[in-house]
Amino acid sequence: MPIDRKRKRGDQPQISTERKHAVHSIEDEPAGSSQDEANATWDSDQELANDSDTSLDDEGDEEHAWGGLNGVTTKSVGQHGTVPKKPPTGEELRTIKDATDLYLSSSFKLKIDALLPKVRPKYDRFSPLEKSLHSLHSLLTSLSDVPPRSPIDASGELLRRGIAVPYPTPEPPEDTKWKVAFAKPQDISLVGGWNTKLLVKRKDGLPYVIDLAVEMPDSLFQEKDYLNNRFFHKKAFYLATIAAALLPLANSKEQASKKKGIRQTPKKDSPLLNVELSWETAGTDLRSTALIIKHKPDGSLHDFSSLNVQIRVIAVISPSSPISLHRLSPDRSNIRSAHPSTTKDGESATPIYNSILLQHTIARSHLLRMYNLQKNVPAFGDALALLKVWVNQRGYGESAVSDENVGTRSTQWTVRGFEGMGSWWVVVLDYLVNGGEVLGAKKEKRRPLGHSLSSYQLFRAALDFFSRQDWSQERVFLRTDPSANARFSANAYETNGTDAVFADLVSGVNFLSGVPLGSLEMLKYDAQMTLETLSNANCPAMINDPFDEVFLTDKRTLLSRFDVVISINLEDAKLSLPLDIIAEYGGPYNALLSSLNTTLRSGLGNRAKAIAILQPCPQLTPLDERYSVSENTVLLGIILDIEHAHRLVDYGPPAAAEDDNTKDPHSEERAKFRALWGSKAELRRFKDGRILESVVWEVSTADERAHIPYLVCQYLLKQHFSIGGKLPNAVQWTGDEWDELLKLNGSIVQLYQAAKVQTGFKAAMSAFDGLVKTLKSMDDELPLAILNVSPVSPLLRYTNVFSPVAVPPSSPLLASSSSVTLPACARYVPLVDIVIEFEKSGRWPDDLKAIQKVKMAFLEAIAAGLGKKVNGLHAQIVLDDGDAESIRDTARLEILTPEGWAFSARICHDREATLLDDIIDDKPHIPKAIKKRLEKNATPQEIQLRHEAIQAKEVYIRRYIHGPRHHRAVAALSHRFSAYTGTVRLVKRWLASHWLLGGHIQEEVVELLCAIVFLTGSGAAKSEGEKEKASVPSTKERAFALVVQFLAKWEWEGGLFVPIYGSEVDGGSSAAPEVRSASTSRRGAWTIRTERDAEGYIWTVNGPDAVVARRIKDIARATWNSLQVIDGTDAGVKNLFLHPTTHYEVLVGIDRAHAPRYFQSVVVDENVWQKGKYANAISKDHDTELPLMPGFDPTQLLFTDLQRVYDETFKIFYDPYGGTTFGIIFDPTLKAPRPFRVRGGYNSAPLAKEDDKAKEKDKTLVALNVEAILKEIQRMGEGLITNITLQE
Amino acid sequence: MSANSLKSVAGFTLITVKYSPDSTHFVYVRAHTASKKGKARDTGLPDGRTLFMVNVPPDATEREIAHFFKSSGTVERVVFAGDDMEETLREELVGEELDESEDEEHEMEGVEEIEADVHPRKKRKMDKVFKTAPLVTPLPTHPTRVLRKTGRSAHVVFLDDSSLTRALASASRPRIWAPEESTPSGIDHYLALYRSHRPPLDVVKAHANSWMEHFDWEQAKKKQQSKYKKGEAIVDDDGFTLVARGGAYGQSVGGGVGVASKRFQREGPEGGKRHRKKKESKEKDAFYSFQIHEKKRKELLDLKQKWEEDKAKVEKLKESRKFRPY
Repeated sequence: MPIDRKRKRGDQPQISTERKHAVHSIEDEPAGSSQDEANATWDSDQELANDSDTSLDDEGDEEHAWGGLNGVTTKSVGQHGTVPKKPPTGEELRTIKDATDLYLSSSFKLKIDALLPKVRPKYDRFSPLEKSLHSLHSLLTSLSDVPPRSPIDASGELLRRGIAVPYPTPEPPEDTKWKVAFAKPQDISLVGGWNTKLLVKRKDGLPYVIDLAVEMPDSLFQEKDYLNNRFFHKKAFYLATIAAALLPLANSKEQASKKKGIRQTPKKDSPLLNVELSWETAGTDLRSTALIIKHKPDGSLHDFSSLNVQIRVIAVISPSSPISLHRLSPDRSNIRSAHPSTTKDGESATPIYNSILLQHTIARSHLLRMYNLQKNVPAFGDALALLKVWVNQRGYGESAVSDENVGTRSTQWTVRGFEGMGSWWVVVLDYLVNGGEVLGAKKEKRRPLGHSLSSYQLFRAALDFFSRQDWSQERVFLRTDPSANARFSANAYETNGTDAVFADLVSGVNFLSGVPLGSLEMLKYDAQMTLETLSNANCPAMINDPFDEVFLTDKRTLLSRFDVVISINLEDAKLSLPLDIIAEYGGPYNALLSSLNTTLRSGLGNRAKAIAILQPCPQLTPLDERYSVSENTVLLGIILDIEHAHRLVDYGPPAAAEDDNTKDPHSEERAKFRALWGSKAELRRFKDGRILESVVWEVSTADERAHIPYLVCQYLLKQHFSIGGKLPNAVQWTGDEWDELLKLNGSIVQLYQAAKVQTGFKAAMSAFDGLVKTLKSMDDELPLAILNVSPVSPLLRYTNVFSPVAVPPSSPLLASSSSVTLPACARYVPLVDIVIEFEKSGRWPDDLKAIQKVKMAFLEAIAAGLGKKVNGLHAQIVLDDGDAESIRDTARLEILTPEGWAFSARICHDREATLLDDIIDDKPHIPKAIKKRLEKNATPQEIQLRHEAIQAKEVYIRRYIHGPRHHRAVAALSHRFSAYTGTVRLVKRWLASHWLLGGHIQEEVVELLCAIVFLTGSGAAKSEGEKEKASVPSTKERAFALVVQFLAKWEWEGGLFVPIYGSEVDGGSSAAPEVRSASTSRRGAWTIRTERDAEGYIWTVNGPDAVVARRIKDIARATWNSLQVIDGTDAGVKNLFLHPTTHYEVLVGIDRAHAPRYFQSVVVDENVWQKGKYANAISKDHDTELPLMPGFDPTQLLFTDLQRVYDETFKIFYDPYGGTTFGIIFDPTLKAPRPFRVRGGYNSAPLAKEDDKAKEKDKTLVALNVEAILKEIQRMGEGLITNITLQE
Repeated sequence: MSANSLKSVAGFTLITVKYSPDSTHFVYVRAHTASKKGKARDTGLPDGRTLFMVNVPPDATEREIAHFFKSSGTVERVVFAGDDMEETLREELVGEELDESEDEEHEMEGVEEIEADVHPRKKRKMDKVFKTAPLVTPLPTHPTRVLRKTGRSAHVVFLDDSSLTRALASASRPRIWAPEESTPSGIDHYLALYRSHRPPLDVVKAHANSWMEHFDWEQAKKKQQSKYKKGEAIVDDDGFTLVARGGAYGQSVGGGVGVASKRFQREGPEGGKRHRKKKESKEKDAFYSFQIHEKKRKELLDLKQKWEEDKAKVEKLKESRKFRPY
């Protein structure tokens, strides 16, 4: 279809231009008509596309829905790029000014304008719905009365007709005196967003909801109906009766069509509705049940099924009803327990119950209020739409349980407490526009905002309100009717910080009753994040478009949203609460979650910024079923406050003073503390002399320390709800699985422990410090004093994947006969790079080759000195290239300390850079044009020398200038953000396990990449005392998810700026030598820039090329998709780190027993080193006799050689951490036969000529000789390669 | 393989090399002809007995190639392309140097005689130094394989012309590639490499020291040869004085006239920021009312242009259906 359309449209101008001069007058008319025709097709296409979408949002109506601002037509768009000739008119100017002043930026405004039509229904298509509503209205008004009868009898009868009356718990007892009845509604009105055109599309394709308020007649109620759920029971019966009235229509239709076997088209004006009915139970609370009406598709005029709309029938009461509403003050108890045991004193207030009842009175006043707002505040509708989109993207509200998204089971979790809260968002805007009061420590008035704010400003004001509000301390009140009196005094809403209050004083409804405080804190946190995004919109380090970030991205992915996600199985939860309290919460499930939230909040305290309970959104219940909670699992999403999260001790109130007879001020607190923590609370004396009640969390490693928040939750859940008592896996967290990825195989770790070797980053760093001290003390033995020793290694900045391990040369680990001998495949010892700088001296020779020799001499002196100073230290000079006559920096010193740390030291001499520069460009004063001419006459030696100098200079800059500097910056980051190093390690592991790290991406690049999720939006480094941003993730898992998400979306053509140096730049020398980027053509596709590397040259010039960059994106996408389904339960985190090998053309297997890093592999087969099975591998000659060879990794060497040798033939991949397979993909262009060339650069085989004589002159074609290449690889990797497989 | 029937490809004779019974490698050979352009490059490749070989196995060593052509004749040496010709050049240079130094010594005697009167004391000191050119203790070398890029070429120099013709003629028969046993490959290669990169400390010391001695000797020799002396202005034949940058203490080699700094030399007195500043502040841009008008008009135009651009951008995004949040 679309192709067709294109052709037609494209033809149009052709016709007219071709025939213009010849048959101008004749052809004009047909041309015009065919234009119309084309347009008609275009429109119908659009219609079709829309219909198949089964949604109301428009694609085709863009032209008129999007008219630009003030009708600026889209024609002007075409002028883009050319400078407009005329200055803008006054009107245009005003639009432009408005857009820039009232919105974040002009493009932001334009994007908002583009977004809004996509989230609203197309009201002009709603005629079938209106027809349906009309017939529904006439049907409801014509209903006959049902005489009063006992509630149980009544429900029994309805059940027989297939309708379960949704009586809330406790259900009405058999012997009640009061009766339920039905009379036709007093009034029927459309409330909610339909009349006011404020509907906003819901998440996951959920239908738009049209609220139909049915006012129950006053005659059905009595004054005392506010008590003991009586109102709710009556309401439930009322709704059920309406359902019963609609049901025969639904059923009879169905049966009729079944009988005839064909679809029956009803008469055009038939009042009958072909509908489907179900119950909706918002907030898992039967008290707020509503009846949902959906139309079945039948093609009739009433059929609104294609509109994706459902009608929600809610039963309300009029303000004139006899129920005494003044008794519903939030501090009153209206659920009287039937048990005589509880006395009057024991009855606690029932604010939630009261508020829900009151909500049934406000439907119409709310509608009126909304209408007024819309009239007075022009931007209200747009602001509400923006707010709702924002809220929906973050899972506040309803969602569907969808299977289509990811393929596997995926529950869309919503933040608890916001289902059916649609009206609250309106009320919030109302509050902001009209002002109100805040009651906290002191009383404050909130000033009303101006009525002429733009939609963006209103939206932002709402976020600002969310981000500042402290719901546990402050109560918010508004008056929906300034003239009316308050129903209850504001003091009646005092809740002791257990519940949030956002109440309308006029109606008395607390909109937030029953909404957990944790959910509101989550909302606060989200608002803070978004505000940060918006205020940093123009910052260079912003990684995503702020508009996308705020409105377009689905932010519900658990892993990237919460620091900790814990899944709780509620199956065996026990709750000891009196029945009336359970009734107040609206059922045991709600009561459980509510007290769970309270307990965890007080238990975690300031460890967490927000604790959100996430639950699958309750779905519609069929009419004949009573609603019950189907899903037993809820999730706990926690945002940690990193300053306190990993505290080891929870301090409680002080102990009672022994000799004091006066009343102990803390006795109550103490009792509370004891009640919360149970037996874990202990009285302890602390170093500062205080004696406090406290809870101590015992941990042994840093990894375990990160588990404390989880341990707290686990303990409290077991203590208070006995969750996890019977089912061991009732409380789960994936933290362990992530940690596992950064640990070595258990049996190897046992060997280390048995040999008592030093392990850990701290140990490595103190070893380094010790070495520096020794080196500095050798001034007498060296010709020059050592000025500086800088570390340049991930092992000394916490960012190595594995925690470093020292293998002492004399330890039993290396002795062949010992019981703890390290197997050959676990003998890899990494080298720790350090750079030594000597004090400046004029005695260095002014010749590059000579400098290298002097370095050798210095290193020899250091080696000799160290050998004398430290017993058992081995030092060995290494000449990297083996080529002694070179201007390159070749010599380094390998130092193996007696404790087993291996260092590799190089000497930095700054004169080298100048000398190299002189070779590269020895005539800086000559203009470039002349230089070019001179270069033509250069001898090959000169060219060769210059080439070599350029290479040497690059090595120099990377090794001695950027290496140490990068190290310092990363080390600083790792101190600033506690989750940073863990993230880097995870991402490195992830990239490595997908065969990309090392061979294609440098480790430094990963460190830069991970920094962005911590630094995004920050312009400069944090100044002293400033708070870290809300968006900084606190756990490595979350940061990892964010990095993956970033990589999946990143369009790398634009490059990336990472401000890791921060303020260091201003202080440091600004005249740092830069690399000439003109020297080589760029190979890397990524451009990662820093303050010190404006061209993104240093780490990414050779970095991932376009092929690899695309691959990374694909892998990131796949990982991101799998991350969606990982919740608290063990969903196989490890699977994210398993690499599929099917798409490689050749797989080269490496002998696992000989790869000295095999033990680091993600999946390790312990049999490889267990004696017996592979006994022959162990006894092979060079295993036992070889001493420790630091840094020796033949797999890596072979990989690098193959990569270099076959650079133009194939791409090769492997996992540097213990990978035992190389994957090869040939350059697809080489597969096709080509004419023979001398400098083909690949191994070719001639093809037989098809037709010898005919194409004698043609060059012989050659093609890639795969077999020979594989044989060559086999030869080069003799002893290492076990097998080579050619895959399809 | 059907390709076996082929004998020549684009002027090259095809040699079939059997890596193993089931995999065949192809080498393309022809007689080497010295090109006119790269004379410097082709030194040492005699016409007539040099074979040009394309698609050399990446791990081939000189001995392996020699062995491969054994049936044709004795191979004198193999020059791999891409291997820096520096290697060969250096060899040659070393040879030359040795010759030169001998010559120079003779020459120098003459020089010394002339200058004897001017610097009698220095001369004696130098005499001692120059008598013996210090020898450089070489670092130990181990024969290890060099893995070169695949698909490269090499020149094989035979001892005599007839070997070349034989080599070209005997191409038809597939021959077996025999890896050299004495040069390790695979894991043994990497082990050998690891060891060879780590010479004993005393050898390194001896090497570095002797090399430096040699270097000093050479430097001194150069200085001696130079006709410029410190503190004397260099005046050429036309009477111009050479102006050169000074050393650490501002004194130039030639002495007398020095140039301030390297940066000064690069940028010249006019370079740098000062120059640019001057130019800017010449004209006032908001002096006449028309200037103010123009400026405002331009601002408005820019504003509008940016607006249009933004709009176009959003329009483009809209086409890609980007504005559907969910």
